[in-house]
Amino acid sequence: MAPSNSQTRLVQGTLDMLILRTLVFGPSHGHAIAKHIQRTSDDALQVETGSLYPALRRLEGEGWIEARWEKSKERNRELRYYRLTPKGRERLAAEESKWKQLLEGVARVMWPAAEG
Amino acid sequence: MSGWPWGKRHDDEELDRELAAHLELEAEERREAGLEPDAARSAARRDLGNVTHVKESVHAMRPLASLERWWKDLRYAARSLAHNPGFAFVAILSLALGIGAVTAIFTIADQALLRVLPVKDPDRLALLTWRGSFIGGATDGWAESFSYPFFREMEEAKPAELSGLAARFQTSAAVDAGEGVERANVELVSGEYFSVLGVQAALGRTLLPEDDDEPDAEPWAVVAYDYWRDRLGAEPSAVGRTIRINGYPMTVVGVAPPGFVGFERLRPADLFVSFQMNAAVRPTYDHRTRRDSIWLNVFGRLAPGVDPRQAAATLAPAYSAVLRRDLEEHPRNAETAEKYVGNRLELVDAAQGLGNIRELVAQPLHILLAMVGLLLLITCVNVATLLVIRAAKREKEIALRCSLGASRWTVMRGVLLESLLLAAGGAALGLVFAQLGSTLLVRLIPAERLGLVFETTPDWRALSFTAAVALLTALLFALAPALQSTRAAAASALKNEAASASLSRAQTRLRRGLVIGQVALSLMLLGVAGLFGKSLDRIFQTDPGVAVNRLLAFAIVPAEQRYEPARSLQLATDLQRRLQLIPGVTSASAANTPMLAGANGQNTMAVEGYQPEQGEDMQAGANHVLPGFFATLGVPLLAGRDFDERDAAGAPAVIIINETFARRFFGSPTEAVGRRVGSFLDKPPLPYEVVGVVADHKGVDLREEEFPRTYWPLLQANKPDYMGFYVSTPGDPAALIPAVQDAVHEIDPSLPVFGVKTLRRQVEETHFMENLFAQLSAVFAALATLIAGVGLYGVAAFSVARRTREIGIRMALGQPRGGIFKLVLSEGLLLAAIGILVGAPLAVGAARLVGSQLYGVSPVDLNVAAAAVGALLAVAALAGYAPARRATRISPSSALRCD
Repeated sequence: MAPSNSQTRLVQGTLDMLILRTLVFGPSHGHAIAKHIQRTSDDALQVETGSLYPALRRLEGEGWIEARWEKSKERNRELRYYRLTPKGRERLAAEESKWKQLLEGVARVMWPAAEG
Repeated sequence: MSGWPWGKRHDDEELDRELAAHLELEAEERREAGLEPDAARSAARRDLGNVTHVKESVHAMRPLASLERWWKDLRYAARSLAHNPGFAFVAILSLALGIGAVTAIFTIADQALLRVLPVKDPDRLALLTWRGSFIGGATDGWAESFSYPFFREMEEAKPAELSGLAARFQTSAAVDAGEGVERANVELVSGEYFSVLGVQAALGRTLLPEDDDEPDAEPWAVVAYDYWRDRLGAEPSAVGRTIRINGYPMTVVGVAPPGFVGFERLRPADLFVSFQMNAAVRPTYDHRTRRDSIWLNVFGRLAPGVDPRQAAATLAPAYSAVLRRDLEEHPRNAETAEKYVGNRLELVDAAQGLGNIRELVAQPLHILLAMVGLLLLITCVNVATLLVIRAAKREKEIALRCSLGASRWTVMRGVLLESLLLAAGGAALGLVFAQLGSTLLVRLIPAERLGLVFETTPDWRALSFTAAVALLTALLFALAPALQSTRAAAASALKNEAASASLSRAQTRLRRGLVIGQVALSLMLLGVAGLFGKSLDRIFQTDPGVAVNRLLAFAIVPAEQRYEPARSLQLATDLQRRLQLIPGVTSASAANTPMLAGANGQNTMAVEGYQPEQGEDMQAGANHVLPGFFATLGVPLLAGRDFDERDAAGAPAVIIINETFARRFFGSPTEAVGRRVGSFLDKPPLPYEVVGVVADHKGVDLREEEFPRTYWPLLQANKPDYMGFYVSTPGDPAALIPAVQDAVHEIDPSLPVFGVKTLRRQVEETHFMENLFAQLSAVFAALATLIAGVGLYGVAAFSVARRTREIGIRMALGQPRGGIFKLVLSEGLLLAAIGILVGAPLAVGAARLVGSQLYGVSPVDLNVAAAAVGALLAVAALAGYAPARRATRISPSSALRCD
């Protein structure tokens, strides 16, 4: 595991977007979502359960994701699977473009030479 | 998302399941990575973190989570109050007394002082008033009445700054709406009255400008809504019906909207009639042509964007034209005339309608409001004391909660919620008390005499007032305990002995300070109550010079029943003879100004051989009386003779004066007989010969100073109207009531008799305000003292409980029980004594503020002060007695073992 000082605390709202993005690949449960984010970010992003489950409840409340208890094929047990709703898909698109703009803006300020 | 609070359990279970699954998956993953099963499980658990914390965060996501927390705390507060019913009972009861008293007084005061007329845009109404001198008399000053010609000429001038001008005059008349003759209030109004006020008829129509055209030929009446409901059966067909006002037939053309009772809200009008019908409604006073009689109230509606000052300025030219015409008709010398033309008009806010009743009751009501405010403050302080004691008792519980992670705010919220619950309970019970209280209060006000009508059920204004008061009191009395509890929380968090010690000292100071405050405030109320009580006593100890206890009074107004003056006087003489035939009646007589009823007739006098100085007050009381009046009232004749039947119309003009008049102008009663006096306007001057001098006596009320008085023969009066009869008997005057009524009806069965009451009763009604003050302030002071007693008891009992160990040690060391008893008792007495010292200057201040309402008592009265101090010390001793006894029963051995 990466040393803790290299891990980044997620900015409020970012976790929501990352969860939504993860669910684009198909329905998933809490543990898998956390692992996916961790793995895909090369362990740069640690998802605490204390943030994950409240976030899932919040997204569910907003109607961006839905949850259902389903039998897991590989694990042979009931897990709570989350899937993206059409509203959630729209939300993700909006969040994504916002983030892109933000990142580009930050990049232009931080590395002006790269702009050419 | 699930609802609240019922979906919560399901949510919790689901989260538990999900977290358990998470844990399993994590552990599996670690096992797959090569860890031992046990190690994998504990690592997974470590990784998951605090499950409770996760759950809490999820709960916090729920939309109503914070409400839910409040709800939980509220239930906790309710439970903890229920565990201590004695405390809750005392706190709620004392709050209810305080809130109830305030709401009761507010319900009355609101109606008397605060409410505006139920008309369109009342804020734009302006009442015309004048400042300067008056052509019809010697008075200078300020008044809100005008002559009829003034109104008509101003109406003619049609100032653009007023979008309308209206006049009114309130009187009473004998009205027959089909069920016999009754007295009713009639408001005489000008044509634009209803349109200026913006009042629409509920049924039929209002009076219109065209109903104000032709003198004595506009027999149309609008009736008030309540009158229509109570006297006309609430029937729509009442419009068009004929009613009789003083026997004169008039047609009901409409019904005013509910709630509208004319321009004087507290003297509600039953009927509205045009000024053109003045002669029918007021047969003895028709001053419509007189420029030297002021009787109308004139008001207007300010045009948009105009302020009252601007409007008054633009009315000035028309007003000075009126003043000059007044002088043409009543020439005055150059100096007086110049002064008169300098009179100024002022416009005052009339949103509340006419205010003379308001002025009458404003100061008393403000004093009562201040008194109940004080009472409420005392209850707040008392409940704060109880809460502080309770908080101290719950220190351990609070410390435990803090160590379990409750924040200071959570603890404080608990105290605040408890206070809110107490305040809500107090307010609910207080409303019940308020209803009872204002009903009693209104019963103490002789509404008949003042013509005041009060609602006693708290309305939405009173309810919102109560809610606001309850909330405010809750914050007020919860503040000290809440802050204290957070300090306790802090101290327990620090687990610091020194901090707890200083805290407990601070608590003791707080408790003592609160009790001292209660005693000081109670002293204020007790002092004021004592002064009002003593003042009332002084009033009723005054010798009125009239045989109050053996007289029965009643009144008739034959002129309202279309009696001509000569027939009126014949009726009076016949009735007097008939009354004297009643067995048990020693004598009977009448006057046209009622005795000791607050009524006053006055005249500016001229006296033979006496040149008044510039500005000298030449006013004298004036009353027209039948022969035998002085004998009937028990007023001795000092010189000369009484009137007799020969002093009638056509006979030489004669007058009787009182001793004060005689001594001031003639030296002595005997010297006065045979001299001449007159009214200052009389031409030729001094037409009256003094034929008798009577002893001084009270006439207006018991508080009045000796005053020159004149008595004129009623049989020589030009226009007799009101006749107040007095029947004297050696027995119980009230027993004569049926016989007296029979006697009147024998002579004229249709003549209404009113105001039948003993003179004693009349005097009590005249002095109702003093009576009301004495009774109410006594009740308030008693409540305040009782509440302060509860506070003293609470502190003493708590202090004994807290010091059980110390007292045990004292006893073990050989201190006698009597000494312990004294120790506890003297502590309470000391607190009371300090409270009295603190309260003394406040009480003196309060007494000075109410000084103007007192009679025969100085605001600083040593007897009253001694009684108030004595009462408080007695209550302190009483409150300390039980705890002191309890202290003496402490057994040293068990006291030392405890804790």
